[in-house]
Amino acid sequence: MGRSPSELFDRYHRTVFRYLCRLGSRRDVAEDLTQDVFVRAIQALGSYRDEERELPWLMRIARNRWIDHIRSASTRGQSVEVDETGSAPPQQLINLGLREALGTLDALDRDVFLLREVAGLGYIEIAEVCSLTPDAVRSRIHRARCALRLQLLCPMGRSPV
Amino acid sequence: MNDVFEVLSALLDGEDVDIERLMGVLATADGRDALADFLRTRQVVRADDADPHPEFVARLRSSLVPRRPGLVRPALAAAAVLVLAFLGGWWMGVHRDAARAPGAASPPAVTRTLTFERNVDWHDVP
Repeated sequence: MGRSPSELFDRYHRTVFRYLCRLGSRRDVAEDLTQDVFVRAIQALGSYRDEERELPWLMRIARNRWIDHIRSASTRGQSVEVDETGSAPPQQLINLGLREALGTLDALDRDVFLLREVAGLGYIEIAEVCSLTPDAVRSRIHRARCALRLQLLCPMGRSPV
Repeated sequence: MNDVFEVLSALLDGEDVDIERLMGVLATADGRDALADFLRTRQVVRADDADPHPEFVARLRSSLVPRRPGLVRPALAAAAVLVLAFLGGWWMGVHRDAARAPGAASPPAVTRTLTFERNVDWHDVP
């Protein structure tokens, strides 16, 4: 027996929202996309009863919804901007720096990295979500981590690898 | 050099790692710096205070969670059936009686008249 819709929402809505924010959404867009994700998930919940794999399943929906959003935004000629006004001031600076750094990553590297760091998925789960092999996931996460280290920590005086 | 440190990434991610290789990397200052930097990067990424607005959460939660299947709707449906059945029965009864007794709505026509006269064919009872 799977979770009820309310349990599913309460347990995962912050993770989905933060993942979408870190991907580059404005807060209002991230909220809209989060809504879409849970509407779709709850519509399909009756046929999905594997509690152990709920989060990868949700994150796959979120990722697909994000890709649809990017495609439609680019079709309409809109830019995807991030709004950090909901954060506390010190966090705003961190988020802006992180956003710039994440923006320089290869899109798939960024996806894979955020599924690991924000959603907490394992390599095998990420591989399923992104249709990759676990080895490819490991390599992409490491590559993203090294690139972020270079961009985030070098300005603070650290030397890159 | 980055590939050498891939074992550090795997360690951070809770994956199985080659212990000898890990010890070799951590034996170097660069390896230790890399591990510390990866941890700092993780802290930056996870130090996210972004939450959806509470109003949004409340609204979305109430719209997503199906209402508790109460008895109101079935009770209303049952009441509607009863009312319809009553009205239908009344209507059919009225029309059936009307069909059986044509002209029942007006008094019957007079066919004969009886006349009684005092002291002739009836008398008072003392």
